[in-house]
Amino acid sequence: MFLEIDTVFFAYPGKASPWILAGYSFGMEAGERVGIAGPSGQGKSTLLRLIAGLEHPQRGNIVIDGRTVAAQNIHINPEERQVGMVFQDYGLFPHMTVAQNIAYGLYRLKRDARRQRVEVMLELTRMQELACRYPYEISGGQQQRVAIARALAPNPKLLLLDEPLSNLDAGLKKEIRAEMRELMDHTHSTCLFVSHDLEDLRAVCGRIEIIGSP
Amino acid sequence: MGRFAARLLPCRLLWNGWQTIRAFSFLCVLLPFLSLAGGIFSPSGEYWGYVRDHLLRDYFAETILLAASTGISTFCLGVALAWVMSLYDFRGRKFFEVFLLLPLAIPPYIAAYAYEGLLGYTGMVQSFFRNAFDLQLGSLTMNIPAQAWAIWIFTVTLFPYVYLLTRAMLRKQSAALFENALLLGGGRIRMFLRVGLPLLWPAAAAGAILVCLEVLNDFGVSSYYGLNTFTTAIFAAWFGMGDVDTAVKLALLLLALVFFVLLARKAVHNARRYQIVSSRENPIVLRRARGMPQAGIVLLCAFACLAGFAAPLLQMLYWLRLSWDGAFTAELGRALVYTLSVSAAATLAVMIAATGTVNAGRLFSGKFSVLLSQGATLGYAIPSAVLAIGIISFFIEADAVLSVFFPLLPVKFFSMGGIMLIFAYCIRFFTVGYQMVEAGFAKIGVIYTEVSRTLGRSVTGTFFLVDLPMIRHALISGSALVFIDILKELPLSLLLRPFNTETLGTTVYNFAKNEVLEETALPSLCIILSGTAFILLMQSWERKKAGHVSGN
Repeated sequence: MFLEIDTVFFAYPGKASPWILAGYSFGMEAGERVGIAGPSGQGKSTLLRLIAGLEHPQRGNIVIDGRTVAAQNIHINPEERQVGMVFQDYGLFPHMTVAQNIAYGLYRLKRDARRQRVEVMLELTRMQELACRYPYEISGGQQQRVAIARALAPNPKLLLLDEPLSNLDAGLKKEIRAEMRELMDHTHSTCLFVSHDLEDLRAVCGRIEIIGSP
Repeated sequence: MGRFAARLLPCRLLWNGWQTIRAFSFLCVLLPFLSLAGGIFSPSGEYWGYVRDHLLRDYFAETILLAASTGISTFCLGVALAWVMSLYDFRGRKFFEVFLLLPLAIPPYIAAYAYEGLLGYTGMVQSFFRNAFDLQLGSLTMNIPAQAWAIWIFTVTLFPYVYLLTRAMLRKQSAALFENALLLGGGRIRMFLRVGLPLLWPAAAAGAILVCLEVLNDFGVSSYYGLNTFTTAIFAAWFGMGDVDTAVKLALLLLALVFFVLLARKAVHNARRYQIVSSRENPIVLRRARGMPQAGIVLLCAFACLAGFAAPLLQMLYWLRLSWDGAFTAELGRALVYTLSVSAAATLAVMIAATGTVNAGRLFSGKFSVLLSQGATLGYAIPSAVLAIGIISFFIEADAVLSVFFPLLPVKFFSMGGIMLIFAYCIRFFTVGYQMVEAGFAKIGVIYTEVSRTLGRSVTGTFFLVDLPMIRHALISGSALVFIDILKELPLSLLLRPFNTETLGTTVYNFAKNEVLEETALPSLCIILSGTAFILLMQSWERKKAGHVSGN
């Protein structure tokens, strides 16, 4: 199993409500594209944050590619997990251009290799023309493409997508879904996609899991 | 491992540089408290007995009277100004928008000297009435009690604290609240009393409490008017009687008063939780004031600008003209250079400590984390005289230890140099820097940090590449604000400056103490104009930002 989530419990500290995730278990194989659907407040985004290392489970284990990244006495930092994440609001750095945003995670590469990789990602997302623009100078759909390109650029072992299409209108969504699928096929990414919209998940994922009560 | 430990685990990461900066800032604030705590058990001198039996009641009465009266008067003036500026359009509104904040550039002690020059027997006002109308106002001004003068000075220079917070609260309200109140009848006065005041009082009270803390901290105004406040009593015990133990005991009592003020602040803060703050979808539409109402509003705003800013400034300019020939002295040059150097050093230290503390607070949650962050911001509430005593006691001990381990270092390395003063400024003004940095971080949230970390950057790498460029405006504004506050500071500078060294503030104080008020003009204007420049710059920055947002 490439990603293994074993009986994970999580509650945000200080909140009166009980567990957000109570004994949740899940697994997926390398190269798989899995969608997670479910109503709001059931812990879909929290699950991604736990996998990325932005939160730590109170109980249970998370294993990525055979390495335990979260357990009772283990916490591997997000920067050491080789997990890419696309956030709902994209989080494009406003003081960096499109190319600089994509190059951000490639700091371990030498300059030429980094430039080459950025060009590949720009080409894959058809953003070559916009490389020197700042995030506020491009459209929502283009911002979304940059966010995916940036997350994929360092070749993460696992790509996490947290409702990346929720800010787009219906017409644009359809277009971007097709592009995302093409991109995933091309990069052979292992991907966990969270959304409340089953159409989004069907278009990109091979398997869909439902979290929480229907 | 238990559940508590599991929750702390993300902090495997966590005892790092950021946590260290925060813990260090917290300890620095704690040090003067610990030094003072020792004073509770120190043996009492003869003078303490006299103070306790004959003077203590006056100190309490005068200090509380001054703080409470100023709190009430600034509350009334600040609320009235915020109300008319938020709800009405009138002639000169844009001008007042800028000028109502400028009293913040005038330190109260400088305003006190200026008013003495303006309204004293030889001052412009009395001379004018004497020469033009043969009217003698001397007895009138002489008969006003010193306490009333002090309250006046504090009110006209400190009301912007209330005004700013109340306006910010009114900006967040929806027009629907006030429109409904009007539609339901009763007129504008009823609307103010039944809807406006209950909504805005917590913000205004929070501002008034800040004013009270400033009054408790004051030394310049109280000493100039010869008032028996705790601060002047601490100075008298320390320098007049050479009795440090009595000074320490008075400092502890003053600290107890501050504690009650902080309790009031906490109560007000809790009341604020019940505030209903509307979205900006339906902002208040300004109503055009005409005729008498307009005249009343303009008079009110003009009074606040004139009394709090223009009058002291004009008096200082007048004195500068009189003292121009001998104004530029080598001593003043040295004071200027010294003030700029210690202010710059302290500002740098404050901003580094504040940035580290805020960043640690936003990255690592938990009760202990909140305690460390909030504890580090207590310095602003400690009156300068109290802080100075705590710090000097600590540094004298530190010097004694240092001389044992490093005999080659100069004698009294800490307590006789500028380090002690810079350290005191840092503790006192840490909160100012902290709040500015916190506001900067609040604007950007944590998403960019999280994105950066999932892209492989460490917490520190993320800070330099992502956070720092994004909060640079907050850092610049914070640095400027801390710098100006240090420039204006008086009691700490008086108590802790190295021997034979003056700052701009102490130079002004010494001239005033020696009754050469004209000579205060140049150093006072240096302080006032730097503050004014900063406020105008910040306002233009804010306007540009607002224009940019509305443009989008």
